[in-house]
Amino acid sequence: MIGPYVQRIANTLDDTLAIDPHLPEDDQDGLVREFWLGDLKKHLKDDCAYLLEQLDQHLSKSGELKVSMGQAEAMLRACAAIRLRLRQSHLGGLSDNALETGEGIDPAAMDDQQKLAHFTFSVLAGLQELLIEALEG
Amino acid sequence: MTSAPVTEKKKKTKEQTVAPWRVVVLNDPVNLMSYVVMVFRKVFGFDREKAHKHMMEVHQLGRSTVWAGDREKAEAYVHTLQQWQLNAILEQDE
Repeated sequence: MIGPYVQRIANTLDDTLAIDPHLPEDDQDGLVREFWLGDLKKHLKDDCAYLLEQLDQHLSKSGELKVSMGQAEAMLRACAAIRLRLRQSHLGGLSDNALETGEGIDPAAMDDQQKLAHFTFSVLAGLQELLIEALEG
Repeated sequence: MTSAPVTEKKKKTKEQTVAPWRVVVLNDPVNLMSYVVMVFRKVFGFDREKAHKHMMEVHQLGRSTVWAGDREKAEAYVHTLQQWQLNAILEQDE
């Protein structure tokens, strides 16, 4: 299952975020920056922990998922961060269009790390689509 | 008789000197279109059509201004969008 792999990727988000957090420019004493980054990291850590819990305890066993709206939102954010990091770390060689449409992607031409990264990237996108459909349906 | 117009003029001048801050979302090649639409609806309360319009601006033009107003609120929006893993930045009108 992808749980342990997602955990490894999530661990890389402890130090550097998946997005480039643009901060207010006139933060002379750095306090805003410290609070801003600290809060983003804390929320992301909580979101990833919840996603991993669901992957380990529910999806990998029963295939079912029963979550509240708030929990679904946490999972959506975590999926977004993990997918962004996978793009940065393992899938940089693929074009934006290839990643978006799947066209031109040849798994046979990928090494094992890229295959796993692309598989996880796609699975998490599918999970996001299911969650969004459930939230907005 | 002239006090009202003067007050109005002063008020207008003051408003013009405080340029609004804009919340701008930049494109990224990863986040799903449906996800971006959902986030815009959730964070700003946009209806589906307006959220979709901004998402398409981000996708096609590389950026969309999704909100403008006072700085404190703009910063809060940028921070919230970053929590949702969107590339959001704060800009001030020239």
